[in-house]
Amino acid sequence: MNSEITHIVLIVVTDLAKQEVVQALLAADYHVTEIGSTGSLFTTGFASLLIGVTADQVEEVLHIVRQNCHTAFDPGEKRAIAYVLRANTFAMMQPQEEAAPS
Amino acid sequence: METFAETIIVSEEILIVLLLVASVVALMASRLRMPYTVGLVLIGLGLTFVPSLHFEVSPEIILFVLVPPLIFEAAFHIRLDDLRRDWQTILLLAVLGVLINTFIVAGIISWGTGMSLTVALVFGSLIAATDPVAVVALFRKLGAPRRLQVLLEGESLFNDGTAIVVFGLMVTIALTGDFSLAGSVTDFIRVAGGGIIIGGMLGLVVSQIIGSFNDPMVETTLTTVLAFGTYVAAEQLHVSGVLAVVTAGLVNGNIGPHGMSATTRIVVFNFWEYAAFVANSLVFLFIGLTIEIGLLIENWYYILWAILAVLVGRAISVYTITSFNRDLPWSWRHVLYWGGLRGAISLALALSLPAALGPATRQLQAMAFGVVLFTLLVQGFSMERVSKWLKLVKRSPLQEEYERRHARYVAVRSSYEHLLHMARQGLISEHTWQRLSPLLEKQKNNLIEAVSEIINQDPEVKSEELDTARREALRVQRNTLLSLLRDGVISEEIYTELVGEIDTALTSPLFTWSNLLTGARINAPIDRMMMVIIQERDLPQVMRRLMETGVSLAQLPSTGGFLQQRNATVLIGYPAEMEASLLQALQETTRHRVEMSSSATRLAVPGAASRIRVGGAVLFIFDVESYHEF
Repeated sequence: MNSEITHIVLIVVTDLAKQEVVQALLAADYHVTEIGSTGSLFTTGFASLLIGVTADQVEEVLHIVRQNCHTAFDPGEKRAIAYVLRANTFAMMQPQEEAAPS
Repeated sequence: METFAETIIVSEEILIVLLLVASVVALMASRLRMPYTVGLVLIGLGLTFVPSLHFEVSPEIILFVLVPPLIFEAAFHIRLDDLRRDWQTILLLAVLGVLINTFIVAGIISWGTGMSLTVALVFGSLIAATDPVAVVALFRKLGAPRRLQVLLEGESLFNDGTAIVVFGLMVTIALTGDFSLAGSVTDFIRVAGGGIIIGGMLGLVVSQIIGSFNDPMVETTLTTVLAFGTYVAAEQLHVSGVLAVVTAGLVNGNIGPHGMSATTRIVVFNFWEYAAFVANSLVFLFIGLTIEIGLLIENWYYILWAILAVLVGRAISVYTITSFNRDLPWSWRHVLYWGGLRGAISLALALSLPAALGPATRQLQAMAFGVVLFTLLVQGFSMERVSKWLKLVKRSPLQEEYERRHARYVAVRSSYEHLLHMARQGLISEHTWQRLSPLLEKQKNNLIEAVSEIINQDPEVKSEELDTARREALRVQRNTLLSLLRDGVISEEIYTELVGEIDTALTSPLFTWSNLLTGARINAPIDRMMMVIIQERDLPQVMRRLMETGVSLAQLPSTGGFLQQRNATVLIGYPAEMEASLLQALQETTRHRVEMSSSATRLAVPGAASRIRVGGAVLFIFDVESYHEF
């Protein structure tokens, strides 16, 4: 499974929508990495999410994000942006068995 | 013999009249384009001519009721981040400056007028507190450098605290005649330190409580309790109430808002702005009521010496202390000097002088009023000219041209609309209208073009305008929601939810809207992404510049925490052909070179020199397979 992941979807979404988007993605069995939020006094937080996906999953992920970033007060206002990037290598390191001390 | 109830009613009547006076003054001041505090002090002066209103305000009321809101509000809206840059200068000015001022002013007055040194010291300490409210408001209007505003505001906040502590000590010495240097120093440390600790603790506790729920009314009440309660608690424990309030205000103002929703923030900040306005007004009006003009005239000699002493004292303290900060331009030092107006705090302290000081009480109050009058009228009024003379404000000729063209356009447009209205009403004939309207339309269109030309030349003007427009639009939305609620079209819950969104938008950064609008200009597909790490200080101009190009922008969370240098990471989505101009733009806007010694970098690169030159930007470029916006 790991070796098939070739793309990263990087999503920047407003704080208000983040919860819904993350829940929806988790519910669809995606592993989401959340990179904090820029929110502080008087700034709208933008949270960044990273998801590693296979080529066919890209469309689904985008669909989920589109469905769930409802919170917008303005039809023209951007609620989220997504970059689909190709990754050269993707690996999830497993902890190795402790070798006998040499 | 008045009953308690009658006293309350009389006090209420007086209060109402004073607030009415304050409102009138505020209106007139804005009409006459003069700073509000100047108007207040003039009315206060006028009140001194009214002998029959001889008015006793107990010192306790001044200290326990009027001072806390003034101090709390000032502390509440100072950003610790802003203080970071010049904190040493600010602290030195606040502590050392107050001491220098106190002794020099006391020395000069005592020498020149023969006043006893102990009494002169009392005056020296109370007059050391600055109140540059009028100057800061002016700076905001003129667009003076923010760093200078921060210096003035920061100094004023902290020197209020120090001055009040020193004042307390001096009054005790004057009353009891006891003086021991060691005792006074330990007293100072105990009183100041204790105040700070108490204020800090209470501020943290209240911030936590506030963060745990969302109800603007209750949260505002909690801040009120904090402001006054901290003062009372500290005073009961015989430590500095003022420094406690300063600390509580700083803590609550910087940490608290994280736990508040955007709606709450707006409510709380507005409330404190109003509270400070009322307290400020009352202090000025009270002093006018307490002092009679005769007293001022009688003490003219002392007042003149006081003014001289204050001018000399501030010169010495400001110029020596700022000489340690090589980074500070000379024109700024002059502004810091001349901008050291005195105001409400000095008057409040003077009003709180115990009658036990004898005839000196009245004298010191007259002197305080005289000095405040002088600084506000002379320094306050001349500040605008001084800042222009020192070339403090860079008003680009572009901005002036923009104003010119925009005004012409609006004037032509309104004449067009007026004539249209007249034509509709039949006040002018169709024939005349047909002849006039194409001329006016042509003029309008030319001016529209002229204005857009200017706007496109100067990014500042454009982004400011967009921001103003956006905020106005949001405000109108807010009002509409309110009427929908009132008319019963939407429920309270929906209203709160939608208003929350609007408030978040109102307090959100500029680039959301501008970015949206300028984004429309890019026609080529976005196929590259740049991840740029820049100094936080460069962020505003980088963002402004990038927005112009219409690229997709998103900011990622920054590193660093409290009091540390921060980086900002920005993601830029753009078509490949724009890469060169983007790199150019970055090159031009990340000029910030800073020498810093950072423990963070030492950890990251063991053995790195502790002084590093940092600046510019670090960037990574990725190929983007696809880009989407929702």
